[in-house]
Amino acid sequence: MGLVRRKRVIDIGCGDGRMALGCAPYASEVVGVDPDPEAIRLALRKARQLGAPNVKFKVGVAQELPFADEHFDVVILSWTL
Amino acid sequence: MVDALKEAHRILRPRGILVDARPDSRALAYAEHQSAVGMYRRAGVIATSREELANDRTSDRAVATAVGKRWFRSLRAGRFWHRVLFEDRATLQGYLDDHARFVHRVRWTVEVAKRRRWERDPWAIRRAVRYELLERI
Repeated sequence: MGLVRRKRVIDIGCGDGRMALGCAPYASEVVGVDPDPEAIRLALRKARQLGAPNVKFKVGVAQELPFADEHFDVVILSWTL
Repeated sequence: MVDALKEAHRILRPRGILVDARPDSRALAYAEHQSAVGMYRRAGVIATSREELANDRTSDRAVATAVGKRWFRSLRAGRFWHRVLFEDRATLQGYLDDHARFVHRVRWTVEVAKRRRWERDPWAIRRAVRYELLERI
């Protein structure tokens, strides 16, 4: 987890948010993006249950991410490519 | 896939890290039976479907393209093994039936009698996962 400690992390293709939520206690900010709205709904529900205020989830595709240039320190592509 | 890597490059700060983890179809997966004392033993081999092999090669080419274009450089790559657990053999078979990654039939390496005896025991699919850490240039 040293890789994400105090870092701004994005999990592209986050699914139900398992990986993003796993990073949350260590990272300063975590964003999960997935094209499946149902998976994002599930991820948001899990985040609420866990009380992870530094995690956000958005519906979106890997080819067109709504974030500024050079915003993140770490990009995770887990089972995405 | 190359487009996704290009976008990852855009949103990463210079020297930021991209973690790529995905199934490693260069290694076979195994069906394993769990004994009463918790040990796993190999009972069969599970091949990756032809379509997924082609997809994995496309992913490999996309990463090679991103490195070739000097968007990223490889810091470290490797493989680890991961077990997907099932309560019995029927559940394992159901997983194979539902998932496109693997062929649906296990090539068994233990005889039928043993498989029947182990039918209701816990099973696992042990499969390789490849990872690569890429640094944004």
